[in-house]
Amino acid sequence: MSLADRAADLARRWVRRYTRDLPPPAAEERRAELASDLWEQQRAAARAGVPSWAVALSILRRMLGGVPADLGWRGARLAAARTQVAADGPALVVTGSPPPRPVRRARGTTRRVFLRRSLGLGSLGVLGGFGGATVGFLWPDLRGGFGAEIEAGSVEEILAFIRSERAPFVMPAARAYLVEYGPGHDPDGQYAGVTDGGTSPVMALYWRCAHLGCRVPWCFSSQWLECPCHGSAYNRWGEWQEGPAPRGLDRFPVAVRDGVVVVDTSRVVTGPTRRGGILEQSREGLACVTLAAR
Amino acid sequence: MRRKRGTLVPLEATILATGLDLRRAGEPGFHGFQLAQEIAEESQARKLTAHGTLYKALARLEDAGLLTASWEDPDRAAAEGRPRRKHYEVTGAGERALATWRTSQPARSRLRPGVERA
Repeated sequence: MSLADRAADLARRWVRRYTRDLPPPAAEERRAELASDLWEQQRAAARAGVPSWAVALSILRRMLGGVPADLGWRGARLAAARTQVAADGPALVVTGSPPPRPVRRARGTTRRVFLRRSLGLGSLGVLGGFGGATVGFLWPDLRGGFGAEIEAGSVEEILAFIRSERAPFVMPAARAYLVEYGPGHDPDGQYAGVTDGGTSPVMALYWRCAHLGCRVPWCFSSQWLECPCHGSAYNRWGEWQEGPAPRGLDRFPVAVRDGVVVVDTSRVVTGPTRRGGILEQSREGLACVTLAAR
Repeated sequence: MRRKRGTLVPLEATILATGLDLRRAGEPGFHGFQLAQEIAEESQARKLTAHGTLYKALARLEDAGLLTASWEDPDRAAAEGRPRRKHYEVTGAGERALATWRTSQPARSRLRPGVERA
């Protein structure tokens, strides 16, 4: 069945729908007239070489554009039918009974129909508003939050913080730690992919433990990242040193643009394997997570 | 919105004018899609009138006696392998109503082209 046939079928179904409870002559006439119209349109389009999708679009537009008029026509026909019924009966009038009420002139829209439509439209409006608000509330906002590129701040300030505090720069919005990265420790460019080809002086580590996802805090005394959940420990570049974690911490690509560090949290780069670490950094003091906990 | 009895809306005037044009061109009657096509060709938008709008206007003109309508012979439609057509013709009352309507319109009104012609 072509697109035009489908559209014509839909138009015929709509006619059957709004004529379903009308007096048979009016209903049948309207259906027959529409059937003829649809057939003639399809034939004229076929002769003119109009593509099926364009015919379908035209039929749908004509159907939808005519809906208010269809309903108005239907209302008038229903009102006319009611007037006819009222005028035909009752046939027997008992003497002494009150005279029959004068038949009101039929109008296009009765009060009942008007109220029904108002109620329907009102309900649709309320449901539409509620639905729209719900969708708007649930729509993800990816402008600047986790899952998008996030600016961390000026590279000089971040480096100054890391050096003076002897701790990573924490970026809660990116769920990441920024640690100082020096290409001197990475001659083979292992982390070039996450440091803009080795040009970024900082590297972003995803703070989730590679074991089971706990947030891994910084241990000032050991100068490592030590997970309090199961004791996994990583050096300051997030490379695995101890514990059950299968690899080093995952990381996000970082770039420096106009002196500002930008972390791309839309892409998580898997951390190095247990043996893949390259930074030689022993624990520099007491561990924060005791051996018993490990 | 209720209209004053006997008045025409632009689409109805267009239908009557198009019907009269077709008569002058040698076609005494017209059917719904033919009319929609004629109106579309005359208008700038070249869009076919919506089903509901077109047939409601035709029904109103028929009820008002400005058009007469008759269904064609089913055998003829069957012979041509298509659904039956309902043929309309503009009555004398229709011609007069259109003439009255034209005189009531301003000279440079925004009418459909089919109404301005003739």
